[in-house]
Amino acid sequence: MGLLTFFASLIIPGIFLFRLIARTSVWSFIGLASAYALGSSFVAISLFFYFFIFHFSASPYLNLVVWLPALMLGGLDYFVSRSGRLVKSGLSPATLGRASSGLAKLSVFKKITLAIIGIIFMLNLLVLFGRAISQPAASFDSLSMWSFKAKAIFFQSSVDFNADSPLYLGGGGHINYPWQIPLLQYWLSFNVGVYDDLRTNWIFIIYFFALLAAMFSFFKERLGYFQAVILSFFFFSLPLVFYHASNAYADLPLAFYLVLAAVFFYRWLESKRREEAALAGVFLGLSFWIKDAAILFLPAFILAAWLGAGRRLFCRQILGSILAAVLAAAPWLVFKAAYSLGFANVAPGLVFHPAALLSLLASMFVSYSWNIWWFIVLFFALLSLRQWPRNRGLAFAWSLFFFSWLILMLVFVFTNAYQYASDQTAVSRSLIPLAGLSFLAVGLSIKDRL
Amino acid sequence: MSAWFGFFSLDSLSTINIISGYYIGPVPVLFLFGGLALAGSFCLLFASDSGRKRDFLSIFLLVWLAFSIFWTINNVRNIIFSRLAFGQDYDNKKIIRVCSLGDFEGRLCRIFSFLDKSLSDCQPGSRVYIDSPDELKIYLQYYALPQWLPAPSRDRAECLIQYH
Repeated sequence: MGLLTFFASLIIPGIFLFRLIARTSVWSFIGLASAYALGSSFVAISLFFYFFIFHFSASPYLNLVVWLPALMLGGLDYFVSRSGRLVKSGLSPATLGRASSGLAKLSVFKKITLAIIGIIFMLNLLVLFGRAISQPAASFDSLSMWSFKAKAIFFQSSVDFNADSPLYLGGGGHINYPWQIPLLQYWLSFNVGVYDDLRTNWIFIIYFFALLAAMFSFFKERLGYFQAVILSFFFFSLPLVFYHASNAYADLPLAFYLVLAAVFFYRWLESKRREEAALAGVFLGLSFWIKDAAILFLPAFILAAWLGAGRRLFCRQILGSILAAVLAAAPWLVFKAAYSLGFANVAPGLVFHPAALLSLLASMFVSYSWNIWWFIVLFFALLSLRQWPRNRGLAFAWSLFFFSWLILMLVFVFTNAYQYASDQTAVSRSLIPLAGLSFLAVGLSIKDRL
Repeated sequence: MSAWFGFFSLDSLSTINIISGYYIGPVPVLFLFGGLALAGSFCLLFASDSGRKRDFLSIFLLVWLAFSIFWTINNVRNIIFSRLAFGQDYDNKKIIRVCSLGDFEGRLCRIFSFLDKSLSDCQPGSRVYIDSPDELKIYLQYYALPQWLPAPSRDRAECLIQYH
């Protein structure tokens, strides 16, 4: 029951927020996935204000802190909805017309392929659920940081602001890291009544499925049912992504928010509805609450938006989207500045370690964490190169991926973060958000080609 | 460069992928297959019609499915074996018996899991196996004994450390 209350407390305010910002119906895969993202950030930020800004201790009134604003959002949504109807879908009729119909029209070969995919999917679903109910998060960063901080608040009932305490600002490794993931683990435990590592697994599994839902929705609207299933299955069956579906790390949730930002930006390119651009900005800003690595993607998004939208549209509409991003991230960034937390985890200064590039490439092309995905990306990147000038959507998607990869590579080669590439501790998982973005680019290339 | 030259070696491949913990024999062959498909696609890149490109998509799909089948078998095998292994004894390993209920057990299991040893099913009375008590001691002190842990759990932890 506690678990259900927890997820209801995320999705209900998320639905209201989505309706208020997007002005479209929430009843679609992308709508519900977005609602989960908005709702989980909304609850985490509410708890952040409660514990970190107002310095309150946990109490039964904490329910009011979460549920009262949710009810107020519901009321606001009710009054706003009375003044104007929601748009059924933000997509243009041309885009919707391109999406082909469902299972009935598929050839026998495609049906057999789908059957094989279905079997593999179901077996791995059982594996994933088996892991969720039997294996607590055990990886180092979860043990020492993401789950550690959640436990610090749960067992201490408050945040320690004494700088001499080992539990200062939650303790554990990296006190400068953002709080959405630990606060969601805390909030789940608060609802359940005990701290249970097995039950917190579900937070990450739902993020995983929400990301899959967002991708499936994006591909189905643009490529049709069959290609959408294939690409979504590809993402589902990436070994490293699958592993991160239940290991209580922040990389997969970060990928989720960045993919949503990219999806809504692309939808804005199609429809030019300001609401889509605003949502893209909000998701980009909220990604700062997930993991500090979000800052690496900000310049990539700005550059890609410039290329995708063109200078005139960029200045007229995208600057508003950037403002939305800044507003969404502002409380955390101000807090960071106030407590001198910063973004870096390594010694400052520039270095040069070209071997880190080799580690990065080995992670992409040699390890079997990715199946043959990066070969496929390379194939479509070359194939699509000539289409960039005449297809702004394609230019946006590929340049977003390319700039993100470039920034990541520069960080590993030219800063002291090279050590995380050399010892293979962080380089592979730092590619997870990139993998999400690359799926959008490949999907759009398929749309453009076939 | 050794990682590239070791591409065809099963051992090196499994070393690279410590994080996933998987060990799948035919993977290098599948990667080779994928590489050949890619090389072939480059040859046809600038002189192919959309039908041929669809053929290459089919090749990618087949390679992917072949890999995924092995990956699935391995996933299923791992989760079954990781359950069955809990009941076995290994004479050359040190044994710790987790003696009572509480938050501490869950914490202990995570520590063992981090040490990449057999993961207990986190039930009271179950056994876990380690071969590095010093390392365990460090992690118990650092991670399992924060201030908020109730006193009885602290006592049990110290008792366990002295056990070695």
